[in-house]
Amino acid sequence: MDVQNKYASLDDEALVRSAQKGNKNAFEELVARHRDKVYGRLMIMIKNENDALDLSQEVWIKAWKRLKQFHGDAAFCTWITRIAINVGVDHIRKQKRKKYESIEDHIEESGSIERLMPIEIVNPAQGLEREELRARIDKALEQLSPEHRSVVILHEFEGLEYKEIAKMLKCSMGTIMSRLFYARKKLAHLLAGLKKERLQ
Amino acid sequence: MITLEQKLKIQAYLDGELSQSEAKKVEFLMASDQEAKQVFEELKCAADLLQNNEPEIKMPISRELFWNRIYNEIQKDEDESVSVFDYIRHLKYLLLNTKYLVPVAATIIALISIFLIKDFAKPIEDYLVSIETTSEEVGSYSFRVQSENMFVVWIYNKDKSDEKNIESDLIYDDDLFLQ
Amino acid sequence: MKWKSLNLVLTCKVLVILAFLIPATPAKAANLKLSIHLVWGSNEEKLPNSNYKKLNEEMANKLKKIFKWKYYFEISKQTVDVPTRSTKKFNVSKKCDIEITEMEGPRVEVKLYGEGKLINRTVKSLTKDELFTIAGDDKNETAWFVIIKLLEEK
Repeated sequence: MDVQNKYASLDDEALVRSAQKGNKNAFEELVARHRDKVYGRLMIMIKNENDALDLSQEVWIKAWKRLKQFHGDAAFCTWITRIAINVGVDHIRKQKRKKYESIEDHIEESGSIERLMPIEIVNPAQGLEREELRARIDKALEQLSPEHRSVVILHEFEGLEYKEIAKMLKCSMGTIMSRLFYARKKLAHLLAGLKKERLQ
Repeated sequence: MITLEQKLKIQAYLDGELSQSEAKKVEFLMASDQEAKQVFEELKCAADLLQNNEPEIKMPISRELFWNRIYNEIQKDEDESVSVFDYIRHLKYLLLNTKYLVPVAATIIALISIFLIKDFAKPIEDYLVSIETTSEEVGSYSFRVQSENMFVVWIYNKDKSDEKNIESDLIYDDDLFLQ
Repeated sequence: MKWKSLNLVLTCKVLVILAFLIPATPAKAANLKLSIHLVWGSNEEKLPNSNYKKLNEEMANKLKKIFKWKYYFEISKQTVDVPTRSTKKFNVSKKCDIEITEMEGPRVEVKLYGEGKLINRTVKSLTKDELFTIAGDDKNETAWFVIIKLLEEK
């Protein structure tokens, strides 16, 4: 049995225990198993392939250094995803600091236009293949600001409560609620628009 | 026409974030107001759509290539820490050589005393904070602002935070570290 | 080897300096000396009560950088002593009390009471120049702040 096969048969818990003792082969297997999830999260947040790759690397190096702090209270996948989200949030903050804040940014932040949009009820089951729908959701997510995307990811994909998101993103619950509302509204419109295009 | 605050309440209801009494109020609103019901449907559809169709993104480079990048970084870190062990080895030589034993041991003891007396360990303890909110009606957030050397415990009324759309009380900055 | 050339004379000099330094450090069993400020934050410049005064500029500037309020008023200020390993309660306002326990190490336990009821308990270490602030929203878009500052490092 070669090294890769030997570790492939172990579960995450056993791999973590072994990696905590300094076994890099076990850690490599953990990287192989969860690297797409980490990269995917960062890619949805940042929407830049090179940055997402560099940050994925940073996440795994941080994980190796902090592995002894992981006590198995949550699944390893949840733990590593949280590190990825924190790294992604830090990156967005740094980028935002560099960027000149335009009036458009401000409008997007407050979401005032989208709040006034008419109500759009999108039926996901209608006519679209799952893969196609996922690709469209990804495209629609791309059109949100990184801050709004982060709230969507944490709420819809990670299943966190408002309070937890507020803590993670360091802002008030009110801001989280309005960002989520704005993001959902905008996504509903974007997806409805895509569906209309398709029907024409 | 329903207000933005009501819309946010409907959303909080959808996300299971309201107390029982608040939820009842929203249910009553939706039963009596068509627009409120539609807002709920719209948000629910968007939420369901996202939750059931999370985009699956694959890393564009191979397992081996990615692991190599990580391995090299880990190795580099470990090499740097090895050099610290080299110093320790040198120190061992000095301690074992009787000629240097007395002055070196005395220096080590003196340095340890200074560390203990001057509370060098204090900055680490600064970050060990335990916060407990003992009243059911209030919650708390805490954060440290490094630039202003301030540690804040912010107490809020749980009921009020549900009712109003709280805009941030903070001019939040990158160096706020929530505990 | 580089280490072999360690200069013994230099080592002895260092030891002599250290010998002078060690007794110069303060004794560890001193009382904890603190200041407690009760501050009110508002967006109105007008003093809400003639007994209030403008908060000192240094502290107000720090608060302005973190919180949204434009003006900060000092409602009360007291300098207090907490004896080693003991607990003392201080009345900050009619409704608010602060109880401080000096604990092992550089740590303190701070309890906040509102109308006699325990609201919050925080255990942390205090360092000189750090402001430990317990705060919350008040009516009419204002806020209160209890700011604890260590005056002398033990």
